[in-house]
Amino acid sequence: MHGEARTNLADHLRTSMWFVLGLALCLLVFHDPLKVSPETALRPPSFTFPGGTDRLGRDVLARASAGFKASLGVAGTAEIISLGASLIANLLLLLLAKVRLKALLSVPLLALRTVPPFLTGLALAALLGATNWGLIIALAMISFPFEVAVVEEEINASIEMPHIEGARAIGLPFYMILFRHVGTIAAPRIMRYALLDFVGLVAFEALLGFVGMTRPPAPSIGAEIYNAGPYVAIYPWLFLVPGLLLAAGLIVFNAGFTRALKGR
Amino acid sequence: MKGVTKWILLAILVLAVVVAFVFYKKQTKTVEPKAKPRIAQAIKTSKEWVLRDSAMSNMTSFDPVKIVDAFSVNVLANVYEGLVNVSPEGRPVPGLAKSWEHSPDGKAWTFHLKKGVKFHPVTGCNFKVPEEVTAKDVLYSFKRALSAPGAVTSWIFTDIMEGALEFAKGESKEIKGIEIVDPYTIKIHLKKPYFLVTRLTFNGTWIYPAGIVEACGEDYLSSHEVGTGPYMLEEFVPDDRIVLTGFKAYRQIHEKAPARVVIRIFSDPLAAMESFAAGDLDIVEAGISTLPKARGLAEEGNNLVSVPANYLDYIVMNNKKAPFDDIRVRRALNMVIDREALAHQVLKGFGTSAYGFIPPFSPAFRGFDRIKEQGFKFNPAEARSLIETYLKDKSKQTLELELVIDSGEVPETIGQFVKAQVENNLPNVHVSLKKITWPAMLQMAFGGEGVFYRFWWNIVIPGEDLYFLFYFPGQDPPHGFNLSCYDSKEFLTEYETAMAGLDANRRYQGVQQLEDIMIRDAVAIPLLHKTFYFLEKKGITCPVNGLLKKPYIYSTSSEN
Amino acid sequence: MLTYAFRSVFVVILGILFSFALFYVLPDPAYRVAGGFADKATVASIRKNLHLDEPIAERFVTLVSDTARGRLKSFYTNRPVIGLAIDKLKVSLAVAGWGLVFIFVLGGLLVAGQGMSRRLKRWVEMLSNTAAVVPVFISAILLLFASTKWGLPKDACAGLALAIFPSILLSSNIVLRLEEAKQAPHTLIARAFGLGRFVMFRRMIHELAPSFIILSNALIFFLIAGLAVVEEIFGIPGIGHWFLQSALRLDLPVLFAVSVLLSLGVVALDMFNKIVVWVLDPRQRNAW
Repeated sequence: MHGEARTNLADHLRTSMWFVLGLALCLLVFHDPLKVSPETALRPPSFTFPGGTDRLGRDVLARASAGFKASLGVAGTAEIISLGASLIANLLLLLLAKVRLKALLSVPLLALRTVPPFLTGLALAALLGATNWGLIIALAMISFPFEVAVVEEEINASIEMPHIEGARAIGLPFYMILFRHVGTIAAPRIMRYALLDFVGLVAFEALLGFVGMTRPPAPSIGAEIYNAGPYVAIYPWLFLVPGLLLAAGLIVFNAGFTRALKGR
Repeated sequence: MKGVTKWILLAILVLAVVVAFVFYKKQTKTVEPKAKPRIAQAIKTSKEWVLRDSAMSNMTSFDPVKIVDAFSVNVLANVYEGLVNVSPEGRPVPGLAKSWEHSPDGKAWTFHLKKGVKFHPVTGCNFKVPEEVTAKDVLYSFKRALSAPGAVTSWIFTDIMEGALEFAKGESKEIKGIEIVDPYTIKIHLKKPYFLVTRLTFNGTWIYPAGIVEACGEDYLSSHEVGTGPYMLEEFVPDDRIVLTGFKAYRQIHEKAPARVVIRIFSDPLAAMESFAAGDLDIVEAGISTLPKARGLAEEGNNLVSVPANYLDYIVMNNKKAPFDDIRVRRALNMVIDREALAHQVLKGFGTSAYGFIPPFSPAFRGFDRIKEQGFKFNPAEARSLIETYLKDKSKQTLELELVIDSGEVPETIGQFVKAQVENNLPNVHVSLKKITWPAMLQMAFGGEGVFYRFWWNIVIPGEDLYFLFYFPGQDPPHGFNLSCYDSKEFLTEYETAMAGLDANRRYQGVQQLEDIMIRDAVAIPLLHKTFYFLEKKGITCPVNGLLKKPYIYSTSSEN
Repeated sequence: MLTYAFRSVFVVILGILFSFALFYVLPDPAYRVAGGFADKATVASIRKNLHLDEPIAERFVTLVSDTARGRLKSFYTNRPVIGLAIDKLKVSLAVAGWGLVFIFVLGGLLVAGQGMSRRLKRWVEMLSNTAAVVPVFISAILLLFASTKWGLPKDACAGLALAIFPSILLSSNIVLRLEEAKQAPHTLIARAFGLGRFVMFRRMIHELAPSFIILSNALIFFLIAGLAVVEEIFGIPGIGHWFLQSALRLDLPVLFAVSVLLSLGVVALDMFNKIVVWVLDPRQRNAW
């Protein structure tokens, strides 16, 4: 008993270590990411500026770190909203299916999937303007139609499982089956999709930057990486520093999530 | 499970090979146009060669009265001609008119057309092209510039030509100010003395055959050309290429000019530069992200040419809306921006600092050193005292400004730089940045909603009056698109005098005086003049100018 | 079956309507067409020319009929949109083709790798989990650099960038389902009875059907966004890049045409999914 408890604690510590590491990446702000100083423009990495500097003389590492934090917040919130909305939508779909009115919701959802995401982003940018919440809502609305479909498929697949069939056979209540049994099987897979979708939203945020949904000079890591693309051969640190930081951050969070979900 | 896995693997590999075989395409070198050229008219010189050029944009239309972008004008300048053409140095020279004279009061201009000028053959329509260009074709083209549906060119004539405004509005059936003296002579009557010649280099005044639209449809000229220029527009495949073929019947074929020009359209400057490095292009434009590579390639024997453009990157301030209605604020903002740092440290490779409003390619430009002396100075201390006085008068503690920019590396960098400069040097001023798309920017600016935003203009024809197009009172022509809501009687009077100057030097002096007034009134915040950079392959000489960039008709030659 | 067909048509119409509705939220395209000469009279004339002031219903009908007749013209280049779309689709298909190749190759390698030995499986799993979270534009920029440095074909590199994530998704799904199928009672029974591997494999394909559907849904979203991003980065003038530029230029006819294509495509894919499931998984045949 004693040994088991210790293993559990060690496991939890190891899992949380990943998250701590991920959050630590948001704290690498050793210089002001907004301070403009043309005299130090476009310097390669050095002791003073470990990430090198950009066109406006700002520390690239500080901007990448601050940008990562900002994108985590924005894309993370958007993903949570989208996931929540998808779960609610699916619940509604299941309820409607019981009264044979599923098509009332499933048809508009399928139609929403046919609207090009960038067009949605452009329209929402015009409507909501360049505010943080505007950006979050835009990202959530872009992700939602596809997330609904994925969640639906995972739930359907889980329903086909033999032990679920068994549960239905012995007459367990619908909600109990849904939340305790289907939920436990589908949840890890849905969470895995959510994480990958979150990655996509970080990338999409950069794209939305083109339509004016970001507020310069606040950094956004996707935009930092994307804008550095043409300069990979000339000023590689402009791309490598935020790119590596983003990749590292996402890998670290992914590892944490995978470990956390493996327990189930 | 292992056995199954092996079979899966094998099946996938086989499938992959098959699919790869089906989809793989060998990288082709230069693209040869597939359309049938008009062979009978095609040029044949002793040494035929094809110039391979590059571009980053598409053509928006072939119709002279509907194009608004510099690129389309650039290409079509080789296909169409007006009464007046532009030399490689950017000066007006005879085009379809061999000579002209004006009355002593400068209000009546007579143009004598060259005889025997041929139009390009018409394709896709049953229209008989006239034997040569005559005055009635000129009249027809000018009428269309004023009244064609969707035309953006009426402003060229409405403020200066008699009867043009009435004709454009549909109030009269003829243009009072155009008189056909004989088939080769046309006389134009103006409302006021004006140097008409530069206006007639504008694309809206390019000439095509009378009756073409009635015979072939309103949309015909959007996708076909019937010009008189040295090249015919053979083909335009959006996002792929534009092909120009020499016109045999052109009156003055330059013996070293290319027989054909293939302009490949790229979506990004790096790809174009790579193509040049691979030997697939003869000319490529270098921009802010590709200039270092261009410099490297120049060391291999290629030729990197640069020319200061007729371009101004600036910040618009609405002179009628607070706080920009106060000259102290306008002057202070001008004085806190270190333009040298912007041009040389931040936006390396973009262009030069702008201390005034006249672009460097203009003959009226005073020179970089002189304008730095006479233009806006970097003086944060004086700016601070101006702002303090202003705030005291208004009983305010701080000044909140919102600077609107569009998206892209240059505008965003400029916006962030300006914000930092203002806030660092003026502690009681706070600037927030708002980013919008370019179409939204145009709507805001020309819809009269703009207050404080970054904008730019690029004038592609000689014409000193055009530098001031965006500063005249009134939103509608005849006085331009006054984005700054600038309203100065002194400026207007001086403008009328300057533009009435039929002597070039008098005009340039007048324009400089106008610039002085604008600097004194701190109408806007000039920041940068762009520099055009072109990399030319060894042995190719293509003259570039700050207006039209590359007129192929002039001396583009190959030593190979 | 019939209800499904009706439903599909309804989805297409609804989808197109959603896209069309968004046009009224976007800025005015007439100012962009007018460029730097946007005085009131010119803008009004352009709006008239482009039918922007017509009543909503009339404008929608005109757009749809013009699209159907292939007469829809781009605001930007004045060329028929359908012709342009087909040209650009061909270019994108080259990239997508390479993407497919890489999805199969990579996916197959990953599945095989996880089936071979436990140790290899752990490494492959770790590697693919890591690669899956790297956003497409990072791998695209790196591959662009590689392609310019070592002269690799652009289409192939772009396809590879696009394929990384879907191949990992595909392989992890397949492996997961196969493992579940291995534990399923009918499989265990079949093995107990000594049925051959091929027969069991055939049965296990039923388990793959859901993976297929999940993958196609994720693929559509990823491909739509991913193709545009990859084409933008590589400078490939395909349909994704064209759509992105048209959206920024407010070239409404292009946006409309692509929305129509997308609607039809998504519905076609949905139908294809249903057919695949119908064929592969008899249990779901009643689910219509």
